[in-house]
Amino acid sequence: MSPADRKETEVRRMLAGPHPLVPTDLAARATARGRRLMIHRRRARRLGRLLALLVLAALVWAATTQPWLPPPAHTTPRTEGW
Amino acid sequence: MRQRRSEQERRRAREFERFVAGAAGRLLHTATLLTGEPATRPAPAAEELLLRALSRTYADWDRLRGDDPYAHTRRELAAVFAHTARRHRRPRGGLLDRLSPQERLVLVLRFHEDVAEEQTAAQLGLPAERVHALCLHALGEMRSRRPGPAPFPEADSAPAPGTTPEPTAP
Repeated sequence: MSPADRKETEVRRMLAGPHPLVPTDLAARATARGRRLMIHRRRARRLGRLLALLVLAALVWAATTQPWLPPPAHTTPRTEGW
Repeated sequence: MRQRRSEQERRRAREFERFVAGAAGRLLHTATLLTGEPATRPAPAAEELLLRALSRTYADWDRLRGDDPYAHTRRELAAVFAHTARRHRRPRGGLLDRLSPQERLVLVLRFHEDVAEEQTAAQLGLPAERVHALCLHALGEMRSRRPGPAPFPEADSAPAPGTTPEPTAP
């Protein structure tokens, strides 16, 4: 066994030392937190989808109405030069 | 629809609870090693770390599809710990007190959880050489500490030459 291997074995043994006591309500607490996290993620996903939809709608509206163009003239320009 | 969802939720909770009952002991031990808390007393920081990792596993439960929930939780645990490493710098009287949080993480993943070097590197987003170097350094530090057979600090009565005795935790 090489010195490096011996080192590793020794550290492995040290790491395997005494285990702490697991609180009895750990699973219940983790479940409650996990459920909250799921609700939170679902809400964020919905909000993201809604925003994407709004952006898409705004783009479609802008492409069809083209509000940056000047409004059509209501009077015909004066005819000159004939 | 609502009924189906609640049915699914109940099944998930049942499976998750079974998983936690089997894996919590080992996972909490891992978390305690990471936070540097002694195993003989309650470890609030390790519990909090584990709860965060477990709650993510719960939220991802339906999407695990064949992925081992233990490996998933371990990955989450490592990620949460790496993210909050600054909070765990100060010594708490645990076994790996002399190591930096990053060294602790690498040592625990490699030698307690038996994760391969390349996998550890990929999980932490580090080059494999860096993981190797961290591991070697951590091993050296652990060797120079050399506690006696008893798990209590009093066993450190004959420290290796060149090491300073550690202050006992308040």
